[in-house]
Amino acid sequence: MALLPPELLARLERLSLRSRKRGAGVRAGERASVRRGRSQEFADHRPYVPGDDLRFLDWHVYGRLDALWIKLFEEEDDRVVQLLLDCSASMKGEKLDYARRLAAAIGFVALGHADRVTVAGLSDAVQSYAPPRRGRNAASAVFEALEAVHPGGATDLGRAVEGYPRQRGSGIALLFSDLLYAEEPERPLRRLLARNRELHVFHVLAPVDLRPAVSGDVLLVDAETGEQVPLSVDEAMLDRYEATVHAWVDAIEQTCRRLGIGYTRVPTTMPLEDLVLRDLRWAGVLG
Amino acid sequence: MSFATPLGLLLGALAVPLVAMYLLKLRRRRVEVPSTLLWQTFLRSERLATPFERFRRHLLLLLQLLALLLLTLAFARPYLQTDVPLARSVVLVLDTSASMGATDVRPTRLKEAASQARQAVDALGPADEAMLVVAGPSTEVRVPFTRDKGKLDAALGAQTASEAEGSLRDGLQLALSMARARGGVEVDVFSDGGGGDLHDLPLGRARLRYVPVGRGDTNAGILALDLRRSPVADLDRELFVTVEGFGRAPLDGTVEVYVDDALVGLRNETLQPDAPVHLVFDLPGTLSGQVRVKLDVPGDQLADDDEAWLVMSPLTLRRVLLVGGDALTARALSADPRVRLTTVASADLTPSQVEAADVVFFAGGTVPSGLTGRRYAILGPLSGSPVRFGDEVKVPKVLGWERTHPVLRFVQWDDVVVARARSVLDKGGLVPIVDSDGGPLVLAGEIGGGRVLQLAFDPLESDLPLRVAWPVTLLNAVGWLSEGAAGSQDALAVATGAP
Repeated sequence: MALLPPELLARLERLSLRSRKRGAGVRAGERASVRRGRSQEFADHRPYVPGDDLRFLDWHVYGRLDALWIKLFEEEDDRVVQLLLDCSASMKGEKLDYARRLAAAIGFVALGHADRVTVAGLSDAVQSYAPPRRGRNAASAVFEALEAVHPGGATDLGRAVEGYPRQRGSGIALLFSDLLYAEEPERPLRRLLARNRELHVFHVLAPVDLRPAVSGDVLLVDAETGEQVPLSVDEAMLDRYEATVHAWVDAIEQTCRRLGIGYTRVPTTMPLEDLVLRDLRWAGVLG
Repeated sequence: MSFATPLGLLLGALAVPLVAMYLLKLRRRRVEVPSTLLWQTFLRSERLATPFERFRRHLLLLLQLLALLLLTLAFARPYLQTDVPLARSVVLVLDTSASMGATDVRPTRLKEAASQARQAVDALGPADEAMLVVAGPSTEVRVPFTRDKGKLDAALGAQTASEAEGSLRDGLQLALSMARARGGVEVDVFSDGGGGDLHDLPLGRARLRYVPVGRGDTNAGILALDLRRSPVADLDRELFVTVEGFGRAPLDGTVEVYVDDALVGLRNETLQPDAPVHLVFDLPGTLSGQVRVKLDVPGDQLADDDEAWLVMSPLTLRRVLLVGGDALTARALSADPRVRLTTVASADLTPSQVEAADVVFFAGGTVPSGLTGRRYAILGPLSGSPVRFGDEVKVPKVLGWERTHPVLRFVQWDDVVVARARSVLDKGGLVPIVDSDGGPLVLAGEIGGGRVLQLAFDPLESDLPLRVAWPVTLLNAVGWLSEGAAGSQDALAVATGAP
């Protein structure tokens, strides 16, 4: 459990991963499913049609109204929680470390509520993949899978999503990425959303992304592409650059809101405990 | 563009090491960032917002290159070879002859010409200069070359038409000689064209512009007027009048002669262009007074030359007394019909005879006393003369004489031979009018309100009586002694326009 301290794990046990939508899992779990099922929790009535199980006829309604109505019950379902880590070269360092720990915390919460958790490292392809695991006992395996995600390569989220194995049942995809790639983020996010019931983006940003500590004549080298940008930097220019970055982040958040995608800005300077126990609960991601 | 020293451009080669040194100096620190994606986006917007940002970053290099460029140009000394208009030099020739006083153009041709000249002055640029030449009876540079337009304007406004014939040719010649001396001079002539044919004037490199003034050329004028004694009737006089038409067509005119406003002569004449017509009017000797000659030509545009005047003196007989004179002298004095000569021997001279004469000539004997206020001539170093004579001077050589003295008019003294003369010790208040190396030969002057003419030699001891000069001198003396004017002058005439 090197990723997360025991104290945090203890506090995470009391949390659950909230879903904004209901999905259809393959196994009975602890989440309400869109399928009306076999739980004891009444959901609704509907007219009887031939072929319906007669055990679910509501005889009280028949006695009062002389009409055949079928009782529908909530069916509790499990979910597939997919922890998708951007492991491109731009995530190298503190951003990937922070993303691993955050993913571990959310995965740990999900495992505690009978969700199945998968881990995948995505760059321009699927770099690593850990199949779904269920139960708290699988936490170690999930953590190991997270630690096995290593940075490298360029970002091509759309292509990586194409190669990612489809999951059965309803799922929630949690993408941990800095979203620093040339393509407009809308298309790959749409594609990812189409394959999952729910998508939440954790936009991981390091201080070097917001306001790099450079000055004077510098040659900026892109960690992914090796592209070089000569610059003569002064404080005024950094101020303007920071404003540009904030505008870009705001635009991505707007896009996510418009597509119905959950969005959380994750600065790596924020303590993980504060993010998980305060901000994510406040944002309704965890409950 | 050309360069005076093209080798100086080689200095521009220093730009190569300059840029190389700049590039070598500009070693940037490599900084790896997660992505340059946002930087490129940022830089694109930066360049759109501040298009000169990239130049600002290389401002130092650009300034160095600019300094090198300027230094290179300075060494190469660039110049442009182009046609640049130089400052103009204009000579304004203003005709101020009498014809410019014509009023066919209001107020006068001269004012109109001056106005045209002012326009030419106004058109001058700041660096242009102009000179004003006035071509009247005499040619005069009124304003030398100047850029002061005010000075030229003032001079143009001050010009008046003269009353005499002008010489536009002289003015033009002066302007053209100025043009030859300076080169590229423009000559603007403002005239009514009365200067005659000027085509023979060599223009050289000068650019001549003629600004005509006046609408027509109908003019006739009186060119000359004189009064002479009639050769056929001693006491009558003849009036000479010369008139001329100046237009291009013949003019019919009438010449009228008035004496004290009484018409005494009338002629109708056809005046051909540039052909003077000489007219003679006989005037009886009894007439005297103001003679006015009027030329009347219909359509004449210049009235100033249509009238002329002279004063005709009344014919007065002069009583001349010759004392002790010889025959030659007596004959010479009686040549003038206006002279009533009386001769008397010096011994028989009485004061009453002297009193009765207008002029007394003493040719021998002794000059009596008591002549103060009288008018007389002493023809020789006689005793009793107001002049005190000294020793005899043999063959004195004439050095000079007062040509303008009324007594000496029309007389040549340079080859007069005098055998003996007397030196003058005391001029007695007279002034020498003929000088020789031995002293004055003739003296004249006024004494006590009278006039005295004194010869320092005996005329018979010279060849003077054999010369035409002798009667002329005597008659001149009669005129001067009697009236103070030359006897041959019958009228006082002044040329028009003459000062």
